[in-house]
Amino acid sequence: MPLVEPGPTGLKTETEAVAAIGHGNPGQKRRLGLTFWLSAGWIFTLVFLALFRDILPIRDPDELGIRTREVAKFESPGWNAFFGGDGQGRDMFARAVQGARPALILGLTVTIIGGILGSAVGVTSGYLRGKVDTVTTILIDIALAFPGLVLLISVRATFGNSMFVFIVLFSLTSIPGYARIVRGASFALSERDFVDAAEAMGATKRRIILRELAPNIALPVLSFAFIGFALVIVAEGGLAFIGLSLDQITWGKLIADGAGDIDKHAHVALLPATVMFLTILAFNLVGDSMRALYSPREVATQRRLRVGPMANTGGGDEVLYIDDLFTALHTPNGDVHAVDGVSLSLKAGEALGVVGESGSGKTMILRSIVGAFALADVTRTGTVEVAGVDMLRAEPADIKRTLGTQIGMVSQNPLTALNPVRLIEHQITEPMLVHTAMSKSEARARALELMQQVGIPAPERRLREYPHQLSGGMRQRVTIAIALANEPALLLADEPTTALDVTVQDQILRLLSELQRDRKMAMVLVTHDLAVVKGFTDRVAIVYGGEVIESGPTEQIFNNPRHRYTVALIQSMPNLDLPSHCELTTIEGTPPSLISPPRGCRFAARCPAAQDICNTTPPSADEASEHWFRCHFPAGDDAKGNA
Amino acid sequence: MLIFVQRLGRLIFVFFVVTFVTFFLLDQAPGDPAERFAGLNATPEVIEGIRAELGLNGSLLERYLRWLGNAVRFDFGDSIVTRGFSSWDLIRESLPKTLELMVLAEIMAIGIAVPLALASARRPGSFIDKASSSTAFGLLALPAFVLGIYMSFIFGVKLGWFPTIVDNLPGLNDDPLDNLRQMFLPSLTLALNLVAVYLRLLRSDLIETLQEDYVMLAQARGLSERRIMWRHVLRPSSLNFTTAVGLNIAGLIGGAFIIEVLFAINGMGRLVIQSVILEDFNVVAAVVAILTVAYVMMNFLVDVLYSILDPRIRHATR
Amino acid sequence: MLVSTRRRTLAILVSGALIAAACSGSDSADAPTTTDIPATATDAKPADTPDGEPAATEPDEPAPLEDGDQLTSEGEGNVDLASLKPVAGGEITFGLTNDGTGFDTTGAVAPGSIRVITALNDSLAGLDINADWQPNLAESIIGNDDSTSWIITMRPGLLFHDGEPVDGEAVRANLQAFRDSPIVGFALGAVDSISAINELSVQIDMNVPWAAFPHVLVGQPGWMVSPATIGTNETFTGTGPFMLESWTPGDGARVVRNPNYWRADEGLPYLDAINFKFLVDATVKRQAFEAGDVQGYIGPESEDIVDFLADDATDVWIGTAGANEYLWLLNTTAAPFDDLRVRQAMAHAIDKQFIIDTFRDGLTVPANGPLNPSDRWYTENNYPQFDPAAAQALVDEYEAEVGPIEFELSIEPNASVIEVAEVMMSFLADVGIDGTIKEIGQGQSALTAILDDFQAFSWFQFGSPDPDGDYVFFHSSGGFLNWSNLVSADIDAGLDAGRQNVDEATRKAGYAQFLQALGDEVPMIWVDHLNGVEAAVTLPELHGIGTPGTLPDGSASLPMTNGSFFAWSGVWIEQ
Repeated sequence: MPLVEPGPTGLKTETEAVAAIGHGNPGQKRRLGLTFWLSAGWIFTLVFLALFRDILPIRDPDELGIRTREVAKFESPGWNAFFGGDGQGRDMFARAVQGARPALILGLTVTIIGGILGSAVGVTSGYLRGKVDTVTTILIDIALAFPGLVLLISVRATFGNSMFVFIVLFSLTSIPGYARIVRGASFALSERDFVDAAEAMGATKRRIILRELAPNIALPVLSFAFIGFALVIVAEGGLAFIGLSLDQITWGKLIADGAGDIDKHAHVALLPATVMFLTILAFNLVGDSMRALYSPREVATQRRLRVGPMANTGGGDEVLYIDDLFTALHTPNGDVHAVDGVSLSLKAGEALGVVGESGSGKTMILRSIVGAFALADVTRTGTVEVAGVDMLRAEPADIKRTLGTQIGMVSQNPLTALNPVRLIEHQITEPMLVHTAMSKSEARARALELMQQVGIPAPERRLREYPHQLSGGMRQRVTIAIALANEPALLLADEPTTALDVTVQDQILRLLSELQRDRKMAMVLVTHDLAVVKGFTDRVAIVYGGEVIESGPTEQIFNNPRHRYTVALIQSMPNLDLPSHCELTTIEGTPPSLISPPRGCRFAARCPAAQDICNTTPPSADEASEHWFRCHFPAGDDAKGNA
Repeated sequence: MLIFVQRLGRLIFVFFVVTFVTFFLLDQAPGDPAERFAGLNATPEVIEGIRAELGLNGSLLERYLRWLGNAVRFDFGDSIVTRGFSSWDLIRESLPKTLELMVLAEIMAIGIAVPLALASARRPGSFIDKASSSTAFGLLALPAFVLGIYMSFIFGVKLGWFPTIVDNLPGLNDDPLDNLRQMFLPSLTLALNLVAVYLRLLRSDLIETLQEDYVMLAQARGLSERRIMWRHVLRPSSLNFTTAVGLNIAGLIGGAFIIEVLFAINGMGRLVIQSVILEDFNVVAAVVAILTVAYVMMNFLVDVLYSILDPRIRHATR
Repeated sequence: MLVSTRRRTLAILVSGALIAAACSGSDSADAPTTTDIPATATDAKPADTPDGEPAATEPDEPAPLEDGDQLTSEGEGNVDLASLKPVAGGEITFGLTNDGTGFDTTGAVAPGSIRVITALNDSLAGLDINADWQPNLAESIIGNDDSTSWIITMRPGLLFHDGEPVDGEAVRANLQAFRDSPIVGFALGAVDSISAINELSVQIDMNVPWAAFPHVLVGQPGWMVSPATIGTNETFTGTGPFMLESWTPGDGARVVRNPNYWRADEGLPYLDAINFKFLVDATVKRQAFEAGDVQGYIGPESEDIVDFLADDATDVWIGTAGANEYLWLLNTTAAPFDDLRVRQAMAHAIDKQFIIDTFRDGLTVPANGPLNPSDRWYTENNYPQFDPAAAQALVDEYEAEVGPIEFELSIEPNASVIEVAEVMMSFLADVGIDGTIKEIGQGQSALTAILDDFQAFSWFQFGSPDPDGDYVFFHSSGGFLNWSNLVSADIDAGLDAGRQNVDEATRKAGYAQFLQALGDEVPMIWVDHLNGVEAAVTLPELHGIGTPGTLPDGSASLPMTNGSFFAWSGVWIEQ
């Protein structure tokens, strides 16, 4: 959860936090919430009334109440007329209902037509660029530059003011807006790596537009479309005000007609305005909910960082001390137990490899240390201490200082780890300027020094460049330089080489390792690749299903793997020492769900040696020993030299 | 440099097309200003004479080319309805007021929308998020003519803090205080209508950006939330927002008609409507020409801003 | 277009320049036009309205002649006017409904312009408190025995704002230019020749006797501007108490005191300057007034008039002599209105009082013709009154003979007017007449009416206090300006008698004949006289707007004629 202050926020008490973790019910469906149902109800009612207004017992909207004596002039809202009457005693409720039809028809058709056509134009021109873009841009420019009112008045004079004319006009005028928004988004997107990747794989332009770009622009278009819908309805109101609206009763007309009486008979304008407001709001709220449903990235959960009970505290000389850490992410689908009782400790100069498949929770261990989670409501329980500071419960300022001065972090993907719009220099110097008393020039000098240390050629020039001007390897060196800026005691490296070329991988690893040894840093190296930890770490912890399932000195793990999963991992390593006829094995199956982890051994479902007990009883381990593992039937006990 | 030449070329092309289409549309309109001008008993010769005098004779293309030749010298012809004033006189009177209105409104709208969007995106679904969204939608759905009347009533009539109409507006240099006092209500009314759009766009893009690795890393570096939001998140999230602001400014120069009526500002919106309705061809053509130039320039500015905001675009277009 | 309910949003100009000079167009509450000639007399005295009720609506008002045309103000009504001594100095901002289009005295002058011109101009003739014409800028206006030749003599030493002398030649040039104008010249259609006979005098010869001629000189034909500037549109170089300092189209105009005003020895004018501000929206106008941003404005809505009457902190000046009527023109040359029975049925079907009660807050009086009951030329006629049964009978008869009655009502898209029309339609529907509303473009109405491109037409007009001012719109020789196209010997004879005779009884007989014919032939469906809702609102500190001013000879002048004729020279504000 970015951007909630680290430290105790949200739930204060331990019981609350514990209750919060427990409350997640695994089978729970995605819920839409009360606002969604209220909004949907409103829209449904509106559609229902619009469709069936003729057969419902609603007054004729044009019936003059002052003549029929059914509704008085400017009658107040009440049982007789829910929304009161206007200056001619016409039933405002009937009129508001009548206005729903044009509002829905105009709003929806224009939004859909304009949105789809506009997006199509925008994405094509934003992606293809070149001549297509130039021509489109000019067309968009012409369309936008032309004063809409002049067009409207001219067209109206010739073609009248029927709904069809309005739909065509409004759609035409809304296309350029969408096109421009989408063009901008596509512009940025086509710079992105997944597009490059797709291009490299030989995908056709059409396919890239449809498969790669369209889904990604859908979100901005959608969020604009809901506003666009509102704007259409509002624009009609504006036209009504100047008497240029449709040839039927519309909300805009009702409001415009009533606006002059607003101080004496406010209901005539305000009730239709309220209906309009609620409709616009309802559509947007439904839109939000739908988006949340189909795009979990934008799940609008409350971001919270909660803290549960503490476990033991460290002895004092550990740079990193984690004891019995539980991290639960509360999602609409249920609680994800990403870290489930992990204990680790690291002294200065030690390097620990944390190895596991993706989805095993290894990255979440690092996140739990720094307290930075993408989008979630998270509860952490247990102890995380860095250089003696309780990273869960200390004062926010202390936590931030520790983060800034004691911890350096290198993340998985150097392409996304650097802010694309900030100069390299600013990104490197920022931690120094924020956390130390260094002046700008000192920080700059140090940045240069760091750039040299991480092996970046021409650092002077590079400092004045933006991330996209650097290669992947260079970028990772920059992130390492940033991590080292304040001479941290602890280096957290999250798959630092995964996204890099094979040739570069080794260089980066060596660099990290050298730096770690030279500076006597403690390092946690998280990876899915056992080969990476070999030679670079002192100890290794194998993570599976949110748990550490085996831990020991690196040598022992490789030479004497005990947990069946570790064995399988080692077997899946390409190993030059093995005879060539030995086939690489892969691990069948998928890691267990972290929402409802298996009751027994978490690896049981995929384990070749699993027995009944493995499915019912979680294996225990003596975590105090140097090399320990969680397994009922460890390797090595029965079939030594299996590998 | 090349980019500027290209831009200029594009501007000129757009200018031609838009003004010509305007000419064409005006030509289609019913009614003949010359006839109207000539009076009841006018002979065809008299009407023809007036037509020549007003520059309404000849074919469409002829008239257009003649107009273009004069327009280059900022001679847009005289107003037919408000005789004695040239089109340029009328525009010169209206444009500064509209521009000021626009700029003030945009400043206010951005000033309101950006902090709200940041606060909302920080904690989607929180009270502040829901409250600001709903309020913004309320203000969006409340048409300007209702909002403006209420603003005038509360701040002008009841509280007496601001004048309800813009009258004898002093120049911003001469009496900035009075000028801003007069322009406050119209600008705010306009701004409040814009906030919802900006808030939604920015909020949604901010939420996207917040999930980027570099934001997580920034937090892991112990940077303050405020710093992260303003320095790391806002800029990469502001592309769509910038587009919308740019489009709005251009659109509002000729489209703030309602606000102008409500606060008695003789701005461009009023001039456009009035001249279209009254078929004051020269003025319409002049206004459209000015608006086109303003729009294209605005657009250019937005593109420049784009490349400032996102260096990737800067380098890609080179 | 550009207008919605209760808000004349952009009633920018009005009814096409084409005949703006000729008719009052259709701007409901604020539309006198150039050649409307104020006349008609009433005893304009501050009404005795102790309870704040608009006197106009009191059915048992003892003096029926005061209905509608009286001035009423709850603010000054109870104050001893003599105790108020005008003071010089000060500057006001005054709200006007419409923008002007310029000041060309030989062209169509929009209502907004006229409001400003009243401060810049002194017409050759003025109206006394009885709405009889009196010499004003001219020293004398004298006709020969049969009213075929008139001599206008100017006062010596008068100067225009630019310092040029107001002499016989200048008057001749102005009148001649007006007469020659293709746009407005028809208003002097009876004039044969104009010649300066000496330094200060001009002789005008008519082709027919025209006894009411000097009435015309109260209005646009009587406006005098510096000869070199005749036909100039962007400025007005007149003789009035104020000089035009600036006019910003769409915004407003500012006028400043004329230091060389010819009546400066009387202390006139009092104000240093007037800022006229164009406020097209009714709500905006009212709010600006309530917020103190304008010190007064014209054209409040009827509902506001009622409110302001009850409010001691505001003065309302109601009742302009010779205000417009609201009516429907019927095109008597096209079916179904070529049949008298249909026209009569329409008149019988509509309950005018209902409309007055509902939409005018009871402030107006029902109309049976262009003349107000309080008008001295008024006589009763047999215009069909509300009687649905009679209407039904006529409709049945016509339908049995010809077929169903259907028609289109042309109307400018002004929602507050459409509102009224819709109710009238509902009355017609009650008796089986099926009308539909056809909105026409703003400013198209005059042209539409001239081209006879209508069946029925929603219309505002006939504000001329002297009936002669409406001559061309009814007389069969009015050509295209004879709105209903009805040719009636009685109407023509009546109007001619009114025009050519000086004798009041003869004139009155003529107009009685005219009114009688209108009632019998029903070429128009009359609704109401709008005097009660054509009003000005001012702060109590602002004096002289609704109260009589003085003519050069010291006699009282008629204030607020036709909503436009403010004697700005006599307006002053308490310091």
